[in-house]
Amino acid sequence: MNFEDMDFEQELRNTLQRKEPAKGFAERVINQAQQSRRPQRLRRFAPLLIAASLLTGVFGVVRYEEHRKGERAKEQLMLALRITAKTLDTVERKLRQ
Amino acid sequence: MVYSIGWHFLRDRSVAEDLAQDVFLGLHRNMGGIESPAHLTNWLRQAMTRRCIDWSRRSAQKSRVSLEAVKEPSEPARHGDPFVSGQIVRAMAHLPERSRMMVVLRYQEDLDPNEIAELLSVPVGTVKSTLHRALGVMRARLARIRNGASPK
Repeated sequence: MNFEDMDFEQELRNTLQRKEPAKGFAERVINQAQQSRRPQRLRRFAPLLIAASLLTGVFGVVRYEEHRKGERAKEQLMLALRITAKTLDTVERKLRQ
Repeated sequence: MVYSIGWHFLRDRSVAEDLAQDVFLGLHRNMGGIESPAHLTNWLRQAMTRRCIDWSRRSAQKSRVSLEAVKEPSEPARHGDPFVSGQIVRAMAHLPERSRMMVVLRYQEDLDPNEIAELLSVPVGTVKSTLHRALGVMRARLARIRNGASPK
């Protein structure tokens, strides 16, 4: 082999021909890409999830407030009835006397 | 193209595949920024080139050992002399990182010095002089082998 006569640049091109990766490389990349997409998908729906959580929370607060108002009204009614009953008792007693 | 740059630069199949995979995942994340097929090709070449040089610098000692211990190519070149190819691979292994990458980009990717300069962000004159020097060093090494002398 005469290195002086050879077309060195052509030999370089021959040596540096493109090589393909091992079989299954593309599948591995696609799998990795899909795995890395999962959190992104969640991130995409994050505003919706947050909004849903907030709405649930707001409805919860509203419902609790209504429940509390109802309880208070009930207590007031009971008190009023008790007072009324007491008043009626007093009136009745006075009438008997 | 992407894997092949890594393979010819590092001569390590598994590292070349890891880096190529990393490049494609990076592309997947940045797909929105790709404007044309030419931009895509350039993006892939640049990303792989940077990763290869970074990896090589990070593991300089290890990389030098593995490249010096490089064997004859397991798959002989489709054209040309397998013995010459083996000697070229060994001669390339002794080139500095940037010179080696320029040789890969010039003779694998068939890029001209202007394109290589743009890809590596260096002046065109630097690419031309580096390639000229690298080829001279490799030729001299092959000539010493031909004359039966020690390659170094």
